[in-house]
Amino acid sequence: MIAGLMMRIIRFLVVLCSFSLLAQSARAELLIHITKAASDAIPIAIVPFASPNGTGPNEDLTQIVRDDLDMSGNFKSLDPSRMLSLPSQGSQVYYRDWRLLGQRYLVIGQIQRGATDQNYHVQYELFDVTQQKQMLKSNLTTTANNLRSLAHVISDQVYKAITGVRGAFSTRLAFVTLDKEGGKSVYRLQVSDVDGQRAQVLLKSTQPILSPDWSPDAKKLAYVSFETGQPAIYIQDIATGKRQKLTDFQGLNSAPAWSPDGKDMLMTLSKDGNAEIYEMDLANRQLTRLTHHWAIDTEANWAPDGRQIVFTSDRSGGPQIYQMDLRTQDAKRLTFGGPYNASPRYSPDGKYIYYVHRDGGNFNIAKMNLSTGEQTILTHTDLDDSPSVAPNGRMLIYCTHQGTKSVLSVISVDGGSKYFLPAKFGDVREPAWSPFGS
Amino acid sequence: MGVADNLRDPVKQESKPRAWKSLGLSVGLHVILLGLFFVGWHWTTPTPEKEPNFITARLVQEQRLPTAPHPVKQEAQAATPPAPKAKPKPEPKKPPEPTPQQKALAEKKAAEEAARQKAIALQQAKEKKAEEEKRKQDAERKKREEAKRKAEAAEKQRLAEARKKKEEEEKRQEEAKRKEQEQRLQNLVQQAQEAQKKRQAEEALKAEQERQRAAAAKAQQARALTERDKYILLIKQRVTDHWFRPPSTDSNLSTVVTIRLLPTGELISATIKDSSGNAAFDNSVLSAIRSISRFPVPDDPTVFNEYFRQLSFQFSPQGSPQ
Repeated sequence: MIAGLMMRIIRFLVVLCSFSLLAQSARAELLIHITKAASDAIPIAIVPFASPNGTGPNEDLTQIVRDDLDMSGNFKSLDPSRMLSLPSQGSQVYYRDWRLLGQRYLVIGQIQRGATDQNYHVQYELFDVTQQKQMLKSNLTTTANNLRSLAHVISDQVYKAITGVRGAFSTRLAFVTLDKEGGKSVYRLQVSDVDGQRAQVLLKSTQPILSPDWSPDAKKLAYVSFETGQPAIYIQDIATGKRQKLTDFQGLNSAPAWSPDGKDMLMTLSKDGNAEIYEMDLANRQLTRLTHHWAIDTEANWAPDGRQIVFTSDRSGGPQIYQMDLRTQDAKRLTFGGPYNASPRYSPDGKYIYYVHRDGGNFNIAKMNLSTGEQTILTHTDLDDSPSVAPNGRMLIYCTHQGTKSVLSVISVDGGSKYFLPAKFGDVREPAWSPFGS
Repeated sequence: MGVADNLRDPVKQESKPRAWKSLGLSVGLHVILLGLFFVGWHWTTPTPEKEPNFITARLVQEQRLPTAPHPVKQEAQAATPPAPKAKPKPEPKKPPEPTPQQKALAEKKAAEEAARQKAIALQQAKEKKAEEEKRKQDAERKKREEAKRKAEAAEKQRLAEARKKKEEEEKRQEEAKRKEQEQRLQNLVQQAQEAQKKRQAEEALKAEQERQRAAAAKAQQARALTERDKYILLIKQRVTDHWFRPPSTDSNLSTVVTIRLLPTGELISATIKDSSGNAAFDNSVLSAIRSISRFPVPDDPTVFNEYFRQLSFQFSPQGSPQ
């Protein structure tokens, strides 16, 4: 019995040895390192959906999908006028045609209205052109007034199927617009789709509205309004429009920031004589002062894990970004490059912060890798501020200027493409990207 | 063996001419004897009827005799000599005739004288003939003896010569053998020397060839390396141009893909060897590889087989050490 086992072990070792010898005799294979990509924009062809019985909507849903994907900076959609054919079923797809056009992915589909329910029914397919395979086939149904949402869902599904990352095209944006109406400034707090469409005004005021911040469930907004002549923090339910004043302390009431669990809120108050950062328990409105410094401490933002915060302080003489561990309340300075670094926001994975960085006379959006301290400048215009990261961490919206107007721009967090939200508003500022919500 | 043959051969070859010589000698001897017999017969038989003309005839005979017993060549002549005997005959009939008495007396006297003379002549002839015969026989014997002696001497000489020849031959052969051995030895030495020289030359040549081969291999390797490096760059550029990196929240992703190529640069297969764990990232890698219709590869089959028949790529969004 033992001898047999020994024999087996020996045999095994011999086999192992011969394998290792074989492995040694094998030539070292050439290994080429690829660290750069041609572009982060993947070529994709989204063929206008066919409407076999002519009951399709007037609006081209696929253009919404194209815009979404283009906005992400991760895709570059093919102009339909350049397409060699317009297939709407898998059997009509000739991969070679799409390959000739340099496309990697192809979306085709059909849309028609149900005869009885009056809903729109969409069936679409996603193909991998180089590997010549179907990746996704989906059936969606929606009401006539929700076609845009359906288009964003398609964008999300396609984005996820190809990139593996959840799409953020069904999320929303909050921002403040400023218009001159009859010689008076009119501020509007608005909420829209990520492409700026379907905007909805939550609050209209002749006084400034600042710093909108989404609740983690994406159902409420906290913001600062000067409507009373003094800054106060409000919380408003988006669906119902109902709102409540959270704070109107003496002095500053600014920069509200929901905790990841939605139970607490960070804010800047100067009720104690100096601008300090406080944490409020939203259930009982109890305040905890987090900073104790003669300098200005403001613009706090929660880390996704809820254990740390970042904020801006001029305790070094100029605005710089600090990070604080909430248990120890120890703050350490994060930014050292340049005289001005402010308005920090965590990435959803907590590995980066995005902030406004001044380099010379220009204010730009920068990114810092928190583990390495490496800073990357993402924008190259001259007056950029208020960065806000999409919940999937892939896109960033910020405020920039075109001429005398401020506009919103979306870029890939890798600093790739740039997408301007339609400039149908006068001045747009203070963008906030919603979470995925529930 | 060869030497023995050589030794024997000359003897063999000589025995033939010797036999022919003795046969010729004996035939010649017999012919001479036969000729003598005929001559002798002429001497004896025709004389009784003939006149005293014999003197002239005899003179003729005498002149001929010494020559008669000579070699085989004269055989034909020996048959003809009797012919001149007939010619002198008419001459004795011509002398002038005397008076009858005188004539008678004279005739008688003459007859007596003639008879006497004849008897004397006959006697003389007889004696002479006997003497001649004896002399002839002596000569014959002598000749035979002489011939025998000569033959013996010749044989002796021949034997001696043969022996001498044989000895010489042996000596020569021995000498040749010795020389041959010497030559062989010398040859062996020379051969050994030559072999050594040749070996050394070959070794030198081999070393030179080896050196050249090594140099060529080195050059080839250098060339292959530069070719390899050149095509690595080309391939890298091509792959980079075709890679659309998907958005990723993790910058530490890394995928290793192994591909196999045809010598034309066409893709046979692409397989993920080390997955990043991110399907989209892996997929972007495969998509990049498969979207390249033709990879740039070297024409040199050695370089191709060495490096490009199968190769791997490591895709990572962040720069990694090259």
